[in-house]
Amino acid sequence: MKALEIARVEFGNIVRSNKFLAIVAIFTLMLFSGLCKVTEPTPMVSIGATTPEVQGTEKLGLKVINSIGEYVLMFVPLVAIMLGFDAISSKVEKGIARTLLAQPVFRDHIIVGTFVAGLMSLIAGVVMPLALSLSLAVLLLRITPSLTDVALIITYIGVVAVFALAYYTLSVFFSTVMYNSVKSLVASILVWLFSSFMLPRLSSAIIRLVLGPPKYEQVQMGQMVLLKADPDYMKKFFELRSKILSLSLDHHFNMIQSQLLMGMGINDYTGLIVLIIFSLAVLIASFIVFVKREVR
Amino acid sequence: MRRLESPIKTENLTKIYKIGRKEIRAVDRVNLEVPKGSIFGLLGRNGAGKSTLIHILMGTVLPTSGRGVVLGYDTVKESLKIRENVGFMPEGLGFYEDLTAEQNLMAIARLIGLKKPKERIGECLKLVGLWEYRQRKYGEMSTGMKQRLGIAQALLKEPELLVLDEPTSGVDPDGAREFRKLIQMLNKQGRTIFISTHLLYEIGPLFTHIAVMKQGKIVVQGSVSELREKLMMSQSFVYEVELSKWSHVIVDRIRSLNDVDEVIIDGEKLLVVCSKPLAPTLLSLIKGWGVESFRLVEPTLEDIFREFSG
Repeated sequence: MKALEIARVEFGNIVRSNKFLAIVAIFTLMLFSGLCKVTEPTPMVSIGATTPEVQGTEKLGLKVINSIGEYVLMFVPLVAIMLGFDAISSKVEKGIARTLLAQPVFRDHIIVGTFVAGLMSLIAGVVMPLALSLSLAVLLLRITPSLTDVALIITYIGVVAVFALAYYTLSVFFSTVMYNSVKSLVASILVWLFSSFMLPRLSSAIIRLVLGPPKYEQVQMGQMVLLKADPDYMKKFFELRSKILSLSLDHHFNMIQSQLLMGMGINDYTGLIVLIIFSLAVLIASFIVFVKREVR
Repeated sequence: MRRLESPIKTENLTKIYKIGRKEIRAVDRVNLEVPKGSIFGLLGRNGAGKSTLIHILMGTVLPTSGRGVVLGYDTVKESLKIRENVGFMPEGLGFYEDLTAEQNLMAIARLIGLKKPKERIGECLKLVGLWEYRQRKYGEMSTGMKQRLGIAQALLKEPELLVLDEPTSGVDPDGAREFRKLIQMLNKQGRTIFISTHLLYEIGPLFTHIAVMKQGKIVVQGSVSELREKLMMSQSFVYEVELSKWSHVIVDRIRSLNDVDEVIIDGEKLLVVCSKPLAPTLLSLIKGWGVESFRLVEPTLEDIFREFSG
């Protein structure tokens, strides 16, 4: 009960803060502008569709994911980091942990309360803008989603929430270990940069170092002679790349997003399971570090 | 609640921090006894171990060895009970910046399960002089107001023991004066008040009892009057003499007395330094020489602190 009381106060404080309001406003606007892409006419019509508009309406759910996918991949980690990087450290820096510990509470109550408030703020900070921007799109862009679209979008929002949770718990971990909000923010951003931008590029270089340069064979196509990479090399390349990228949180989210974009739902839950296990492990680690440490 | 004559009592309380291979004795075999109803000052320079000792007493830091009992509760086994009953204001405490004074206190009141929290919060805010500022956000408060809110949260439980760690650091002189008044009033209500500080001039005059801490050890403790006497017995006796009319003859006469070691001319006053107290007959003799006033200079709290803390 004490943890929930702390969570209640903490959540109230977060949602009242200018930081939170700014995050929600910016993220909603970004998503809404991304959703405007849904209104673009489809250049190619598949067999069976009557007009481009009809085609577009039928696949609205996919179009939504497609239009905001890039923004989600880019901004959701940032939103999660912004909500988590000072979750514990600011309590220590601002003396709130001392005030709470002056009351009949244990450290367990404080960290559990912080987690619960963080999760609530994450739902409010990530899911709310998604829902808000989609509602805005329905109202302003006059697009009407079908039940299938709604189901797909809800599934997508759930996956995004899990993705956000992974980055949130990571930044909370840094906040707990470092006890310094600036350092925690820098560490979280570095991990995000590494995971999102550096690792995909680095992986190619690493593979080249391991496998050597690719072998090509000449293929005659009409009058043109093309160079085709050795299939065995390419197979090994993609296997290794997948292994390296499995270190990236973004890769796991991408895997699920790609499945959803194929319109077949989620068949392979590996990415989702990895994100959930990662979040839980990091959360437990943060709990242990905080409880063991003496806040004075 | 258990009733005791000493709200705080420790036996060989020790806290050792291990940093790499190095051991730091933050608190070293401390035996402390705080009398009920006293305003007890735990004095010591920065880093003397005062805050660590207080955190051990409140059960937020575990001792390496020894035992501490606060309001009859063991600091290790019953730390929650201690914090349920003691009004504790830790050094450098803070509140949620986007919440008002009232909202912050309400959060604490709910946390401690206070019955009729609104009434009690109102009482505490009035007591510390923050009632008019109850709607002000914590982030917009001055240092003095923040400190007063810290005391208000400690008072919410209506505690019989208040533990305040460096309560006046960063507070301006007016704030310190208000604080002194508040402490005196709370003490008159029968509360024992335990204050740690290194700023003697601000709250020193309040203390009825003190303990001086140095490098983790309690080097001296007792009532302020006892310690004054102790210091006077171990040091020279200094009398401050004001002459009704300045005269070198009188100065020389005083200087020639057997028990007088030295006479220092300090502006228009004389400081007469003696190795032992002057006999009453000698005092009346000196008074007859045209002396306006004559008084024994008692050591101040700062003298006691300096003497024992090195």
